[in-house]
Amino acid sequence: MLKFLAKRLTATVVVIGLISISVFLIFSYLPMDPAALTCGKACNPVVIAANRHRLGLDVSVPVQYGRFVKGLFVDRTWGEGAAKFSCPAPGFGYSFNRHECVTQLIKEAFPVTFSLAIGSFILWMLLGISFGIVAARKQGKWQDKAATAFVVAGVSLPVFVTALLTLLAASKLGLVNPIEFGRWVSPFTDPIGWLKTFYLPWIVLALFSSASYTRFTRSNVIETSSEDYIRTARAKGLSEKVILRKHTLRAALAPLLTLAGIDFAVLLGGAIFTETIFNLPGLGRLSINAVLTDYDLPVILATTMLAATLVVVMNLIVDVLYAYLDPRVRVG
Amino acid sequence: MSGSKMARRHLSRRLIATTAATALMAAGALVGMTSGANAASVQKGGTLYFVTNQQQFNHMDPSRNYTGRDIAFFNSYLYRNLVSYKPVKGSAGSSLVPDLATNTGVPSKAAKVWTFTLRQGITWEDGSAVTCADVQYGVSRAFATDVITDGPQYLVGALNIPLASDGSSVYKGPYKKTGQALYDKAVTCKGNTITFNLNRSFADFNYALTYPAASPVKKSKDSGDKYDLRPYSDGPYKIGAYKLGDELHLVRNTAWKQSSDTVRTPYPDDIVVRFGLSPDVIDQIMLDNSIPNTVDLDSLQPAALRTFFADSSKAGQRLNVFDPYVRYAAINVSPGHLDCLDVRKALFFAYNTQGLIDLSGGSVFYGQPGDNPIKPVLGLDYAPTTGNIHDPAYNINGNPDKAKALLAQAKTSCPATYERATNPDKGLYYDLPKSATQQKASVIIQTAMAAAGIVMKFNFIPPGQYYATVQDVTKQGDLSRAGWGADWANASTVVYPLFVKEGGFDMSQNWNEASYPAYKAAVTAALNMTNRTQQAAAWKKLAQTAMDNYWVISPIFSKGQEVWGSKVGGVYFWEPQGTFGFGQLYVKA
Amino acid sequence: MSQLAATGEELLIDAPVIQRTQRQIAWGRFKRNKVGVLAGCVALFFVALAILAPLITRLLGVNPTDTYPKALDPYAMPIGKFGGISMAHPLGVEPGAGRDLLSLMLYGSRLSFSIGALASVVTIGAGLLIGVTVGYFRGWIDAVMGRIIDFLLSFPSTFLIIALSLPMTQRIEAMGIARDNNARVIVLVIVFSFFGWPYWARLFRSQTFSLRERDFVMAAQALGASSRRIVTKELLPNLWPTVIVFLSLSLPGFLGAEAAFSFLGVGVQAPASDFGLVLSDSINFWRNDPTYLIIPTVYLLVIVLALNLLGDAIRDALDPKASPS
Repeated sequence: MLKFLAKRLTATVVVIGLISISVFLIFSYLPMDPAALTCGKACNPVVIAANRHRLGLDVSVPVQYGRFVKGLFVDRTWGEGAAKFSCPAPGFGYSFNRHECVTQLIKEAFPVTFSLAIGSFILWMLLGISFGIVAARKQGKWQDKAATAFVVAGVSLPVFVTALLTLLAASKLGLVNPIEFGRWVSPFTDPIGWLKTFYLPWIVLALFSSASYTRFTRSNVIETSSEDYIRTARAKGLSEKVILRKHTLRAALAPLLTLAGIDFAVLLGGAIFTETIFNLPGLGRLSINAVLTDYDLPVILATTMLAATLVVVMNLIVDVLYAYLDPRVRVG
Repeated sequence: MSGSKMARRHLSRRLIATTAATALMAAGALVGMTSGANAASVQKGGTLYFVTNQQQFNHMDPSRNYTGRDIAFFNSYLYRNLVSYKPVKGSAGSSLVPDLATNTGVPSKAAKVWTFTLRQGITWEDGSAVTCADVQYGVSRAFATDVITDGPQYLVGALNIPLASDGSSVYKGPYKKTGQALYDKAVTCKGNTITFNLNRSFADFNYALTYPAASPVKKSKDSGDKYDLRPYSDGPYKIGAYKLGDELHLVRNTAWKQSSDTVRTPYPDDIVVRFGLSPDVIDQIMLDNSIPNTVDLDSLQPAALRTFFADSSKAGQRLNVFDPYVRYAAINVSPGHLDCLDVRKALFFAYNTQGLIDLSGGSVFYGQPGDNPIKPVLGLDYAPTTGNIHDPAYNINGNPDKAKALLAQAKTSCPATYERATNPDKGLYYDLPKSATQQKASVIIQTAMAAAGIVMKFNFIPPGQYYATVQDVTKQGDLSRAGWGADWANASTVVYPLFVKEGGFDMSQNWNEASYPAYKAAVTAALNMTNRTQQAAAWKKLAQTAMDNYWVISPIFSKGQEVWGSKVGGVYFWEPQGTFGFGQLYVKA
Repeated sequence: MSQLAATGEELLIDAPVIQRTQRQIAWGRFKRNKVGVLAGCVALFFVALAILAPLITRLLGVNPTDTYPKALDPYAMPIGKFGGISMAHPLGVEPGAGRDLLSLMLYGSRLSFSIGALASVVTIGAGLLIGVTVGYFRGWIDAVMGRIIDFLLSFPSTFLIIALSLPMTQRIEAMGIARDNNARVIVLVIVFSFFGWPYWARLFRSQTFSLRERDFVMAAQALGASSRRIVTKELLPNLWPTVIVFLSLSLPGFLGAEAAFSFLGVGVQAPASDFGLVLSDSINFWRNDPTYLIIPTVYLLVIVLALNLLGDAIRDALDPKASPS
C-alpha cells in the first residue's frame, strides 16, 4: 500500500509540474501582449517597454517561469522606490489590473466557489442516488419513468439556460434581493445570508448534475442486484432492505466515488456559467473576468493551474479511497 | 452578466466609453432637471447608496483618474484640488473656485508661469497638514508612466522639463527619481506658494489643475500601484472598507473641517457603492424604487429608460441632458486603409445615422447628428461647419445612391481602395467595443453599407482592451468607434488630442497625409494664443478642415440620462463634469 | 459538452457480432419506441429547417441580414404584441436592430448544427482512431496515450476554450487561413475537438479491449491475419454501432456548448447570429419583450432534447441490454 501511495504521489507531482509548464507555455506564446493592453491612454513604445518590465515580461519565457516557480516558495517583490511592494509566498504573481497579489484574490474567491460546490454536491448526490435507487427498485413502474424523464431533461438542458430561467423566474417571484444579489457572506458570520446567496445556484447545479448520477446509480444497482453474492444473500433469507443497505449499495456506489470526486474537483475549479449568471464572485468569475475584460495574465495562469491541480489531486485521493472501499478491488 | 455587457457605461471623462450606453451638457435642453439643494430642506445623516454594473471605478488613485464620473465622485468625497469647478447647476458650474488654494491661480510671463497659495488648516485623514510639498509630490507622480498609467498627460506635456530623444520626459517620476532636479525646478514650493513653470503660454492652465492628477499625495502613504486601492483622503470622507467587485464603503473623515472647505457639503453619514450588479437588476431597483436612497451610476437600458421616463410619479428622480461627449467614427486614413477621400465620403453618405440613434433610445435619449467634433456647448469655439450633414444629398437614413456615385468616382481616383471596399472577400474593417448594443449596431451599419455596395466587416474588441488596441497603428482597422468630450471649455482639449499625433487620441492617423505638417503647425499656433477670440476662430477653422478631410464621420451630439431613488435629495447636473454634483447629495428622512 | 463528460461507463455497448440481421433487429426495436420515433421526427424536422433555411426565408420574403425598421417603434422595440409576431414575421422581430427572428433562428440553427456536426465527427473520429490503436496494440503505446489522456482530461476545458479562442482566432487570421466568423468556427471546432477526443478515446479503448477477447478476433489472430486486417475487418465493423450512438449523443452536447460559449461572447459574432448571441441579448429585454427570450430558448431546448432522446433510442435499439434510463 505504501509503495502504491508513493508511486501515485510522485506521478501526481510530476503531472502538476507538467501542467504548470504547459499552461505557462500556452499563454506565453499567444498573440496577446499584456504590456500593450495595460498601457493606458497615453500609450507609446516607451510606456509599453516600461510596462513590459513592470509586468516581468521583458525576460525569456523560461526565466519568467523560473520566477513564477520561485514566487511559489519565496516572497516576490515588484517596483522600485516608494512604489515597491511584495507578494508573500506562496505567490502566484501580482494582478496589475486589480492591484492585488493573485494569492489574495484566490483566497477571496475560493470560499465562494467552495460554498457553491459543497452545497450543490451534497444536494446532487442525495437527489441522484435516491432517485436512482427508487428507479432501480421500481423498475418499469411510474417512478422509474419519472426518473427517466428527469434524467433526459437534466442531461439535455444546457446549464446556462436553466440557470438563466431559474434566475428570471426567481426575480419575477421576488425571491431575489437585488442589492444583495450574489453577495458573498461568510456562513460563520451570517448563515442565513449565506443560504440566501447560494440556495438558487445550488438547486440549479444540483438538478443539472444529479441526472447523470440517477442514471448511473440505477444501472449499477440493477446490475449488482443480479450478481451471485446478492442472490446468495437473498437465498439466505435476508430482507430486501438489509440486502440493499449492506450489500448492493456498497458495491453499486463505490464506482460512483470516482465520478463524484472528479466532478467535485471540477466544480472547485470554478463553475463558470453558474457563477457568471448568479453573479457569484468565485474562481470561475475571477478567471472569466480576467480573460474577457482585461486579459489579466497572472490571474489566468493561476486559476487555470489551480483548476487542473485540483482535478489531479482529487484523482489521487479517489484512487486511494477506491482501493479501500470496493471489496473487489481490495480482494484484487 | 456576460463579459460583453460589463461596464455598460464606462465614460472616460472626455475619452468616452468603450460602451453602449449613454450619459450629459446642456446646449439648452435640460429635460428633467430638478432643483439644486435647497438649504432649508437639506437633511444630514443616513446612508447614500450607489449602484453600478462595473467591477470597480476605473481608478481611485488621483493621478490615474481620468473618467468624468469618477473625477466628480472622488473630488466630491475623497480628494481636493488646488481649484475646483463651482458646485452649482447650469453654466455657472463651469467657473472655477478656489479649493485647496486661496485663489484660482495667478499667471505671469505670458501665462508661462502660474502660482497658487495654499489655504491654511487643511489636513489629511490622520490630522497632519496638507503641505505644498504634498502637492508637488502628487503632481510628480504623473511622470512615473511605468506605474501611474491612464492619467491625463497635460501636466507632463506642459511643465518645463526637456524631452528625451524617444519623446518621453527626461523626468521619470518620484520612484526612479531620474531627472528629479529638473522637476524640482519646474514645480517649486516657497512656503505656502506653489509655482508651475511651463514650456508654453497656457492661458487656462488652472483648468488643467481641476484634474485629480494635480491633487496632493502624502509621500509616506504612497504605495505605488497599490495606492489605487486605498487613496489617502483630505476630503470629507475616507475609505472605511473596500472590496473590488463588491463594495466601497466611505465613512466620515473626522479630521476634515467644514470651515476649511467652501466646495463640499457632506450630508450623508455613510456612502456605499455596490459594484457588479447586472444591468437588469439595476433597472429593476430603479423602476421599483426598492432602495429609495440609491443613485444609479450607470444609465438604464433603453427599454427601462422609456418606462422610467414615461412614469409621471418619477418626474423628480431623473434628468435627461446633453452630455459633454461627441461620439463619432474615426477613419484611419493611413496608406493601405482609407487613404481615399471618395471612399470616405461614400461611407459617410451611406451611413444610417437614424438607425443607430433609434437603437440606443432614439433622439430623445441618445442624441442628434452633429456636424463638428466640437460640441455646441463649448460656445465660443463651436460654429456649424459646411458640407457633411448640411450637404443636400445627405440623408439621415443613408443615401445609397449618392454613396454609389462616389464609389464610381473612387473606381478611377483610387482603384485599390475601391477594390477593397467592394470585394466581398476583402472588405473594410470597423473596430467596435464588444457590447450588446455595438453588436446590434454592426447589423445596422452592415445593412446600410451593403445597400451602397460597400463590404463592411467588424472587429469586436473587449471594452477593457479597446483603446489600447485601436491606438496601436498596426492593429487599427479602417474605422474605429470613439467618443470624446472637451476636458474644459476650450477646444484646445478637442482639436489637439483628436487630430495631432502627440495629442494622444488621434485615431485617424492623419499624419500620413501631405497636408498634416501645415495642420499641425496651425494647431500649435492656436495652442499658444492668449487672445481667446482669435483662438476660437482658429479652432473653428481647424474643425472645418477635419470634417472636410473626413478624418471623422457622423459625429453624434449625445445625450445622457441619470436616475435616482425617491429619497435622494440635492441632485443637480454638474455641467463641466458631465455627471452629478456628488458633494451636495443628501438622503431624505 | 460538460454534461457528456460526466458519466461514461453506462454508454458502453456490448457490440453485436453479426451485422446485417442485427441492423434489422435494431430498426424493428427502434420503430417500437414511440418516444424515440417522435424525437427522431422532431430532430429531422429541425435539421430540415436548418438545411432549407435559405429556401424558407426566400419564400417568406425575409433575410437574416436585413433589418426591418418599419416593424420597430421610435425606441426600436417591436410594434405589436408578442414581440411583433405577424404574417410577415412569424416569430416576431428582434428589438434594437429589427431583424426577423425566424430567419435568425433558422440560420442560427444552421450554424449550430454545422459546428456541432463537425466537432462531433472530428472528436469521435479522433477518439476512434486513437482508442482502437491503443486498445489493440496495448503495451507502451497504451501506457503513454493513457497518460496523455489523463493529462488532457485534467485541464479546465471550459475555461481554456474561452481563454484560447480569441487569441487563436487572431492567429488563424494572421496566418491567412480564414477570417472573421469562418476563423471563429474553425477555432471552435478545433478547441472542442482538442478537449473532447480523450474522453471518447478512453471509451473506444475499453470497447476494443473487450472485443479483442472475443472468439472471432482470437480466431482471426490464430489464423495469422495481419494487425491491419484485424483492425479494419474485424474490430471496426463491430464498432460502428457504438460510433453511431456516440455521434448521436455528442451532437446535442456540442449544440448546447456552442450556444453557451457564444452566450459568454466566445464564438461567432455579430452581424452574424446564433442561439447564444440571441439569448444573451434577449435577457436585456425579458421584462419588456419576453417573447424574444422565450422563442429562442424553446427553439434550442426542443432541438437538444429531441436529439438526446433520439440518441437514447438509437442506443436502446442497438443494445437492448443497456438500460432504458
